[in-house]
Amino acid sequence: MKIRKALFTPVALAVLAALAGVPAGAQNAVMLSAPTTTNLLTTSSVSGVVIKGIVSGQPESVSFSGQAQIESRLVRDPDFGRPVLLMTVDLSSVSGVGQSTKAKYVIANPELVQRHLAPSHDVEVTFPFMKSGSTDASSARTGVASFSLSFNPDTGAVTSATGKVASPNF
Amino acid sequence: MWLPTKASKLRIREAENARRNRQEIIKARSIGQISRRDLLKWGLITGTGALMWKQGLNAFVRSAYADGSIPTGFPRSPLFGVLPFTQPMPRFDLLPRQSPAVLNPAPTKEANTTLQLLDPQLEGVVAGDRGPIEGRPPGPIWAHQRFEQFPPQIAFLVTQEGAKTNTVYNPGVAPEHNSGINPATPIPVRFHPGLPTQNVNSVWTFNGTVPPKLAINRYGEPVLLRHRNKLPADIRQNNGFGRHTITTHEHNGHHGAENDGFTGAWFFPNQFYDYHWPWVLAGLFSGINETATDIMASTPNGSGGLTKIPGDWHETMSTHWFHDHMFEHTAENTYKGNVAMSNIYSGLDRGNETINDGVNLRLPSGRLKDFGNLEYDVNLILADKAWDQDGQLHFDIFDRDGFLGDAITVNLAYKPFFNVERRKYRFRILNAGPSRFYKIALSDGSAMIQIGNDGNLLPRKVILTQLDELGVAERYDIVIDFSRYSIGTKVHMVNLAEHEDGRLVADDLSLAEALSGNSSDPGVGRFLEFRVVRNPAQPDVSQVPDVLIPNPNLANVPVARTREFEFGRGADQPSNDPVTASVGEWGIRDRTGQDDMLAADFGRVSAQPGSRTREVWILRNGGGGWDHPIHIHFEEGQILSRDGSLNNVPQAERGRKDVYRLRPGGELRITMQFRDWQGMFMQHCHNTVHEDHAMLMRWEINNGGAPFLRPLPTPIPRPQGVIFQAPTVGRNA
Repeated sequence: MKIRKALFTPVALAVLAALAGVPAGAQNAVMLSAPTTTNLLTTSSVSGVVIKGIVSGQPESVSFSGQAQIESRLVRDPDFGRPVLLMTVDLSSVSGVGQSTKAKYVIANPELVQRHLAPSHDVEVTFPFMKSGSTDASSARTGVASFSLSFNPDTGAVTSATGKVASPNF
Repeated sequence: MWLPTKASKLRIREAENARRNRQEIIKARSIGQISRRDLLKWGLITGTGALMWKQGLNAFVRSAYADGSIPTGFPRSPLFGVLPFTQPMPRFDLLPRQSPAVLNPAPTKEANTTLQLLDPQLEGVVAGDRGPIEGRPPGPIWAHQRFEQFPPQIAFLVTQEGAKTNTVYNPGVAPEHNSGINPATPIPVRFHPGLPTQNVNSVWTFNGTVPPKLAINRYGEPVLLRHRNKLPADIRQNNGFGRHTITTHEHNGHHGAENDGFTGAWFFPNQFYDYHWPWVLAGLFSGINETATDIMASTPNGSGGLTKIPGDWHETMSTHWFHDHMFEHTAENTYKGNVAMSNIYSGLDRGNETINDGVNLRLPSGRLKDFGNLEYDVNLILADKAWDQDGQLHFDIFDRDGFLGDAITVNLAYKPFFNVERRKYRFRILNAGPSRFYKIALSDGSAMIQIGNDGNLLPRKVILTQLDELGVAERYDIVIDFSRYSIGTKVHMVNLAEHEDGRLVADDLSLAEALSGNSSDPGVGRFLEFRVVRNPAQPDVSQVPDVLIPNPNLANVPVARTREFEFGRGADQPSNDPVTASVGEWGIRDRTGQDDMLAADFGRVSAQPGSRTREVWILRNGGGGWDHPIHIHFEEGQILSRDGSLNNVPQAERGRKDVYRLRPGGELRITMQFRDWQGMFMQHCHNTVHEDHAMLMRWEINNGGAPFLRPLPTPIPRPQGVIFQAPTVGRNA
């Protein structure tokens, strides 16, 4: 039900027309900016980053090492000019060893991080870890993986990377 | 996005003046005095929807007092000295489960067209006009499907009305499980006791009150929700935004389309609409467990046992919400308070953690009642709000990229606290929009267990320290085990997703960054405080099994058709229909036939999947500068791949879904079935601002035999009675 114009009041019309700077009722054609969505391009690359470090805490401290996989995907933005970096930080090839029991600890799920495109980003993600084979959520503990990443601004590819694992300290 | 906290008084005054000027236009638009086409003609908005950069109109115009490089910004919502985490978070307010016998008049299969005298303040009405008491479109097509087979057993009577004090609050739990809130104490509509009470037309909620409402549903127990519109008849009485016509979507019910809250099936003040929610398992009329022999497909019988029901138990749902779906005005109306939640209980997800019958998953909930215990099963609505200098709720429809509030509320309370015991809790988290994404972590980085995504329990639990981004309308069910904390501990839910506008997340911050307080986005950081106050009185016997509800097996269900849709900007509108067609910044392109990007027209049918078929839909984001949470009504789907691979689908997204976040430049392949019920449904972006401007399309199942026609006539609501007009049909439908 759009009986809109019938309800239009002269006062509101005057306010709007004054703001618009055009006569009320003017039939000016509006120039629409053409969308540029058809030029969307994306690229992606995967980089391995060797990381290690110790997560302290009970029941034992755990020493982690391995190769993190960082997939970076550049999504161009022809419309607003703000390209996006979509990163997947996969720590499934990083594992830990309990310093007391020598038990193996594993990290399950990759972390997704969305950032604006920049020459470099410091990316820090928390991750849950548990003893290998365990699904007991109550035993899950938290570590922190930190990365200093540089990117090719044209492709979004990681050009240099360093990383480490540490205990959470929030 | 917002003025810095140290902005000069002159700049703040300038921005406030801009907001007030803009508010005049917003009000005129919201009450129908002007249309988007008018604004385009007058050059007040651009073709892409942005408000023109005219000083005194757009708060982002370069300030006379700025140095030329700093936008004026938006005035922050005044807090009147209120500090975070100084009020308890209210649990939801339970809707009374009543006998259908209380319904007067009694519900009818077809719309009740009894005439009443109309209020001449309604648009298009003159004194003496009469119209039907029910706003549901009349006739057999909009009759409740299988009404005789599923007669209502429970009635919910709700109103939509302006803000008023709640004197009948029922949280369904004792005060010790509600942070000490005494339900007998009247609750005015305000976001904090230290903030101003909302004016009657600043906030429009279910029953006019807060806290938000919760419907307790049970499979096999059909519901009749009678929604009575008690909003002002005078369309101008909206305090600046909000449309007084409404249509209520049960998100995401497997119900007939007449109960789906179709965007073009709105009803007027002083009318009601009867929504029939049968609560059945999908597949029950499509050859799956039709005779109800599988105990896994079951529902609590009220005395500790189970009653078998037909359908596929793999389609069991748990967490829904219902909200307004008014064409072009969903963002305004949901933001204004037209939001509630539905819990659905079943043999599998019973809401009783003690019953050990081999079916019940025994998720954290409680033990006192046969089903639906809420002591440790907590609904959370996240909603970012903004208010003006008088503390009244504020909205800006010219933020067509998406509206961002600067005050995060939980259950409509500004940054509250919630007392918990040292045990497991389930939280059903809903992002109620309008546009913001959240990325949730706990302030100490501890692990959470995700058990559900949207309405559905996952195939397997997922252990996470940071949840995936949560788009508007998505729901994440999680379990937090507070037994790891000592009494006296405070731990917070934290939002890591930083926005600069409503189009997409600018940056996912680290937990340390989010906690630092350095973000320019006031929505980042702590928003809910858990206070660990005591040990549980009884041992925590709840469980979180590794396996929850496996996905339906579709291996033997052939794919009838693949369609491809692109979601982007710059949509065309071939229709000039003054009622059904919208214009706006956003649109949907049916790429299957290389059609143009089209703005919403609820009179146009864009897809007609056959009844009892399965299809694959490819959902493609047409740009890199925005994200869209795409909602497909009616039946749950599964994500087959992201950007070409199942490996890109996170574990927490591998269950059934009804909202599909595309991500910038992303592409999803999903599959869903079309069965059991008929009628017209929708697909749209659930960034409600995008949806309103005009990223929405109609599809329908219309080949199930009489009374359904192919295609279905389009309803055109009027106070004097709904009329119908012939639809247009997309060439690839």
